[in-house]
Amino acid sequence: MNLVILIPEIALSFGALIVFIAELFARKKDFSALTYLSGIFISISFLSIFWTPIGEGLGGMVESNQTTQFLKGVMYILTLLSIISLSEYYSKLNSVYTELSYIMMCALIGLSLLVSSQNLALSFLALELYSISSYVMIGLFRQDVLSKEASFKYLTLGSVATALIALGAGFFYLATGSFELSKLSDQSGPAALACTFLLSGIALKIAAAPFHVWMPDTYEGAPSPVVGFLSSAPKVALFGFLLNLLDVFGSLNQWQIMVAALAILSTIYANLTAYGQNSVKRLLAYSSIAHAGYFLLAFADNTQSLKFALIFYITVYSFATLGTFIAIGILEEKRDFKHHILDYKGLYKTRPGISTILAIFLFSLIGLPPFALFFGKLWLLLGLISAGEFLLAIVLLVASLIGAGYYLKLIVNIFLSEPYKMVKGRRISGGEAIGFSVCLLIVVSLGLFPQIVLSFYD
Amino acid sequence: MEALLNVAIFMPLVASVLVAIVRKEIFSKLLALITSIAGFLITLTIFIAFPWDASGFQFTTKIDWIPQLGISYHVGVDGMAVSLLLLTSLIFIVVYVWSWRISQRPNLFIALFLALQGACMGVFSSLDFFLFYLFWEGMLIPMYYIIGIWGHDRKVYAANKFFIYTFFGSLFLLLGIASLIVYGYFIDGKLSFDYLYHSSKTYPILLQYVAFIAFGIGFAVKVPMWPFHTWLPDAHVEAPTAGSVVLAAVLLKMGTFGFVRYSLELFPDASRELATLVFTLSLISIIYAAMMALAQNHIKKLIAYSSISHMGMVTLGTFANDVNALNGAIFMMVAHGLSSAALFMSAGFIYDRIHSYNMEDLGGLAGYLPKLAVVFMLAGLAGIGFPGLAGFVGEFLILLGTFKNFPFWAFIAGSGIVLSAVYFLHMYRKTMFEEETISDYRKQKWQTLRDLEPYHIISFVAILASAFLLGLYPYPFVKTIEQTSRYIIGG
Repeated sequence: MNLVILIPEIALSFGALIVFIAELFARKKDFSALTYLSGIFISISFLSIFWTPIGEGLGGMVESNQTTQFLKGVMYILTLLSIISLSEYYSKLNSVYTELSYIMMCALIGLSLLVSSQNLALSFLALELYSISSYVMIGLFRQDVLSKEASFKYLTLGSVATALIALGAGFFYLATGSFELSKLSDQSGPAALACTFLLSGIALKIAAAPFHVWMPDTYEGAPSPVVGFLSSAPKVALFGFLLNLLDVFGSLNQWQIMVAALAILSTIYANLTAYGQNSVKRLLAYSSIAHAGYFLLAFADNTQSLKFALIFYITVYSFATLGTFIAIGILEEKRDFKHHILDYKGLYKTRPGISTILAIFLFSLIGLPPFALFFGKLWLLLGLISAGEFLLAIVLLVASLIGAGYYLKLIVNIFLSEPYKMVKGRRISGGEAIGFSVCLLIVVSLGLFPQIVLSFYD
Repeated sequence: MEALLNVAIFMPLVASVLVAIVRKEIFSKLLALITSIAGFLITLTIFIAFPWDASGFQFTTKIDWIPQLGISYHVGVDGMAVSLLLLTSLIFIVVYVWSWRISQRPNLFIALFLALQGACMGVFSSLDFFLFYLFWEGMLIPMYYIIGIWGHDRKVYAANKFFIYTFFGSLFLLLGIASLIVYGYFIDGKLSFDYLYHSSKTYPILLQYVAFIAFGIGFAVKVPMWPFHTWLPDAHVEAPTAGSVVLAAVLLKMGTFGFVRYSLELFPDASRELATLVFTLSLISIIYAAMMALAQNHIKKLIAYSSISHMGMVTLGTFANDVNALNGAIFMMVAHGLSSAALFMSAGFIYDRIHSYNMEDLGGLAGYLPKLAVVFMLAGLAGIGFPGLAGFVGEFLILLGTFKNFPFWAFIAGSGIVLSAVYFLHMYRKTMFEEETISDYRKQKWQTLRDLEPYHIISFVAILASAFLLGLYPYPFVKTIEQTSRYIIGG
């Protein structure tokens, strides 16, 4: 029972408990104080990662290595940024639900466990902890039909994912007589079924096509800061979990075919469908699906360079997308602001600062240098070619090309059109300023000096 | 000298950031002018100090940047690069002088052009694939905004088309670069993005073909070569004058520069084997674009097609496998940079005064704008390769060298020169003479037209004097350029 491995999670749990108790006595106006309190606990957990040793714990159920440490660090920072930047949004929209702070922390505990778990039973529990918290967060606008619909849709489809993963874990047990990932030796029959079901379940959670249908609706209906959180930290955790599965199932035929199919479908389909969207949030949802496809490309082969490429790419992507959602959240002054693309017309005239920030994030999502996502893409390309996956390398390039156009559509509306409705948005709060500044800093500086990530990693 | 080269690359970028922060109109304009003049003096110093007979790259700086992936900050120049750097810095001075009066968002305008200038300087001097690609893509965003914000009626369409086409080419370039890097990794077990490391390798013929095609598409979009050319007329027609000048004079040269620096040097076998393909596309570009130019009524579109046609000559000379032809091709890049800049400035001036690019609305301008008539003529003559002006030396050398190895192709290309005279003189006649086609109402209005102002004259003199210098005393330039041709082709 080596509990030292779990110090960050234990710290987080205590933090969540304290915030929960504090919330019992809190009034609506203490909302931002509560978010900052959670921020402090997340920071403490983040710092505790540096004192956590590397090794196994709970009899092999959890493992801590450089990858998990790094991914946890990234997730904690992402959650910290989302949590400190959200209070102004909710108070302005007059829908303060003080529960949000500790629910987000609970989700983070789940994600954090998911990354380090080496046992499917624990992974299942961790994933559920995250999922249930996220259903609540999405549906938090209780009077808003869209928000409730989004939450319900995600709940139904999310339960399908739960079922699939449970089924996969069951077959895994059939094949090995254990839930421990390292126990798999025989790779036929039940193991192949386990692989198929687990991968499908995860694909649903990361919204890879054709398991993506819940995502655009959820993105559209959920509050923007929650979407920002959902599109960043969980992605990191789920792909981190997938990395654990890769070591186990990577050599299976089913795995390779499914991963390639999911990746090709997601990238091409999502990039094409995004052109038809009129809502900026839906557009970003399809962008997120396409990026899930890019990340899945890295699972086509179990090589070191692809793994590094994935970790780098997903880190910088998460910051870019979180920054985008923080920025568009600022525009949302009233509840009826639906992020229609026409609302963004001529935004540069009214909000030059936010427009510029948004443009940097959008250009980085296209994959232009010198922004960090370009480097992720280049690294992935190098990894794919050196693994001999030429077809997938071409897919990556073709999809990137198709994808460039719809970000441009938004950029055109922001910069090159005359104002249609004067969208003013509200004042930028301190938390939001810190939030997108950090994201901006990471997207720009890691594009020029990507070795920073490697130096943390070593 | 090494330090000066780095200063020339980073000075505009730093100035761009300063302009974006300070946002004072007069400060922006003065700073842009000062940095561009200083940049010109620096590149001129580098050009004069450049040793003609030393082989390889000069004034190199190499600093480790991302050692884990074999990426370094590595810059240096050869004869071709130093000539193009000189051209770039001259063109950007002219751009800032020409835009002295701009009133719509001047700070953003200047900041974008300064960023563009830094990117162009970087492309011509980088010796590392990653650095090269960074600068190559770095010009995309500034140019996108320049066309999109300050352009004419269909600016958004043109800006998007420009962006998508160029991005399409860049992705192929990226694929080519990645395949070379991975090959190097398999052979030597280390990642290296260094140009010198790769140019010392001999690639297997299959990889040469693949990479040649991938690089080739990337460069062909930029040149542009038929059938990737359709973005150029739109971009030129819609771009503001300063944007057109930079696009024609500098950005197109990145493509032809890439062909010489990367395709020809890294894949010599593929370049020989696939020369027929390149020749065919070049000849189609030369003849087809010239025919298209003849059919235009829009003067900027005509000049844009003439650019495609002239760039066809350059690609022809590049792959003719002869030192003279390659000299001519590189010389022509510089010469065309000067002549097309002057032509687009003339067209832009006509638009400023008469608010039309259409030949139907123009005529007899020689009587109202006599000074313009002179510079327009000189610009055109420089473009069609009139002896005594820069274009002649380039075209002559290209045809001379190509005739030696490929007389048939050279013969057809020669007819392109005749066509270029035809379409230019046609445009000149339609706009400057034929006063009888113009209504009396217009003539009345044109009585009060103002001819070239001092800042226009400075711009034109800077460009046309250089064109004369290159045409009358090409020796130092040809010598400098030959340094590149000799190490690429040998002999």
